[in-house]
Amino acid sequence: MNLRLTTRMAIQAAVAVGLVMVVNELLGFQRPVWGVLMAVVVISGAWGDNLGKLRDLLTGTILAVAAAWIFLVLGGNRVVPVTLAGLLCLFFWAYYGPISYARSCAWMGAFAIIIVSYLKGSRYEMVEARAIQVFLGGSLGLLVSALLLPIRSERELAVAMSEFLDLLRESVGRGFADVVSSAGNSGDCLRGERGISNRLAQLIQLGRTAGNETIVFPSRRRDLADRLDRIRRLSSYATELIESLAAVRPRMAAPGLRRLFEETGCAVDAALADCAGESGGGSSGSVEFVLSRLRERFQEELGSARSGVSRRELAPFILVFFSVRGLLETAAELAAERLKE
Amino acid sequence: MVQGYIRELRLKAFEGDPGLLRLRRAARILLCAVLSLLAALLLSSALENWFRLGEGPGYRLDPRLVFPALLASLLLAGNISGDTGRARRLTMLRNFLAALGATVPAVFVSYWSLGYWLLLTGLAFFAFYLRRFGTSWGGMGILMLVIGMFIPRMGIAPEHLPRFWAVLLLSFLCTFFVSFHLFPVRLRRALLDCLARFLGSVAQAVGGIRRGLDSGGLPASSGPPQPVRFMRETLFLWGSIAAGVISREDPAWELLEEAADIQFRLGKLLKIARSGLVELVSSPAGCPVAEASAALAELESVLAGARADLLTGESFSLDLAGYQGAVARLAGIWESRPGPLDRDDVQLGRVVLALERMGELLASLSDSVSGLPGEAE
Repeated sequence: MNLRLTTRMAIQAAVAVGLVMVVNELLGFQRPVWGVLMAVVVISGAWGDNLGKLRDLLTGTILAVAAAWIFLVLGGNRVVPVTLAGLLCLFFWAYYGPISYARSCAWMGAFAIIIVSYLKGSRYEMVEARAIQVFLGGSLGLLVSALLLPIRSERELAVAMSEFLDLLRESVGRGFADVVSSAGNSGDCLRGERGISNRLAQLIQLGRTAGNETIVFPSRRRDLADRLDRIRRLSSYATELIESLAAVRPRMAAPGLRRLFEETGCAVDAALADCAGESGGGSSGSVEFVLSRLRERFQEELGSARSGVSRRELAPFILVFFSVRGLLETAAELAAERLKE
Repeated sequence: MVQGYIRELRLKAFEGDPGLLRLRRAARILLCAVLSLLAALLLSSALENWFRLGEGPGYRLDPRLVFPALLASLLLAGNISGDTGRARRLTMLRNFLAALGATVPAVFVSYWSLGYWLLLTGLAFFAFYLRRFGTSWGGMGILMLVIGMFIPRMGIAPEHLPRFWAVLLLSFLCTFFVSFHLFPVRLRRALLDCLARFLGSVAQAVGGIRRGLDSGGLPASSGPPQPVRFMRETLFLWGSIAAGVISREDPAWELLEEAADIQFRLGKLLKIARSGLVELVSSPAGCPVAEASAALAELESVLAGARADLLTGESFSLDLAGYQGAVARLAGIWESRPGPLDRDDVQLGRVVLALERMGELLASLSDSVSGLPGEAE
């Protein structure tokens, strides 16, 4: 079914909540509201984060249960210590919320156990009920999110990124080919740039939707922002490179310069293939090594009279190297990120 | 002056909490909870038994009334969303009204009945469905779910509704007061603080290169400059906090993206300029030290000025004329070098072009900061 992300999440949440209540009814457990809440919070819109949230919920609950148990054993069932402990828990829950889900869960769990234990006059029932309900609600939420209308936004984003990298590779490759053969015209370059710009806007929109409509971890949101930032930067360097290549095309008389640009084009193509995952992991060396070799070649070819380039004409050639450098370094960052995943 | 100095100290002390956003959030939520409780207690003292549900011994202020209202207060204070102060106030008001609305069906269903089952599944569905309209709507859905969940659980019946509304209204008023008068969200200020710190770090790095050049002992670069590594993490931390507050249409995102891009590019350009100068200094033809140093001094002064502007205001003015003039003089030397083209020409060209690009980047950053609307209204 071609349903929107939020619709899928909504159906998953409704089914998970219903299921938690049915299972609680069948097993006759206490405190089912906690289980209902846990089923809801596990559903985030990304499978990896659902799993991570359940893990963090369990970790946080173990810590919360331990802390609350110690507090109750020490006789903390009078109004002043309970209030102070509750407020302290609230403060740290809010403080860690934006950066660590596990720590945030631990503080909220401790708050819930301490306050409800005090209000109900019971001491250890809440500790047990909290642990059971977190496990039950979280597990059912995870199960439903895996089986019912599973969300593949990460995969869609990965496919869109791969297509975008292919487009970049093709456009930059064409730019180098035109320079080496002194063919093509500036209209082709502009069309290539527009294509990159349009596709980038679509990709960023997709990434923003994934980041905005889901309830993923702060770390996931950060990774997504980081990846989009790199893609945007890669695109920007590619566009600058295409423009610089168009600027140096009329000054490509020397055969040495053509060879240099052929080599540079190959290095850029290999780097882009590497970050798109199409090179089988076999790049032509570390980016520092490739860059130092290219820098040496640029200096060798441009820093001599045989290049046929005057001092005033040197700038666009240097800008080509700037763009190549930025592009190779950013492509290497993306390739490293892909390998890590 | 004093304000800028205090803010600078704060920047150094809390690198992991840009603009003290997390600390302010925690303080806001804590204070909302405390004030809500105190207000309810005071009212219950004045109105004797009005806030008790049922007969028999118990609390003067029934926890069954206070607990859901306290949760509502926490959620209201924790999900302040909107691009401007006015939008945030309206969001909080809307969320409060939605919470009131959720109480109506909730009081008519009994705990653990078929009605309760239907109510919770329906509210869970809407809590996620509403997210498509923006982050604040997601917060509203969760608030309605929590209210719908706890009212039947606490045994609040239709005849108790006016009392619960009174407690909820008190919580809302306290939350509103704390959130907009004591600890308002200052996202833009935090972003500008990040930028100020970054510009200060870049100014320091530029100053280091200039001093090395003047003393003739410019060492080879060792890795990316410190500001590059620092800025990235801080900006992304800011972004993860801002994602829960401002919409995707807010211009602050454009500035964030541009800042993330610029921190990378400025770092690289600094590295290029530095390595070019290192090679030029050691070459037999030598380096135009005086001109390069003058350009770097101008850049340092521009960066320091921009940083000072950001520490005390909402934008920064860039007077790049002096810097551009210094770079143009260096470019003039490059273009008028005698003899055939050699490697030093390429090196000097790298330095000149890197310095030119830095000026362009700073100018575009200044434009983006100026285009950022105010946060208060």
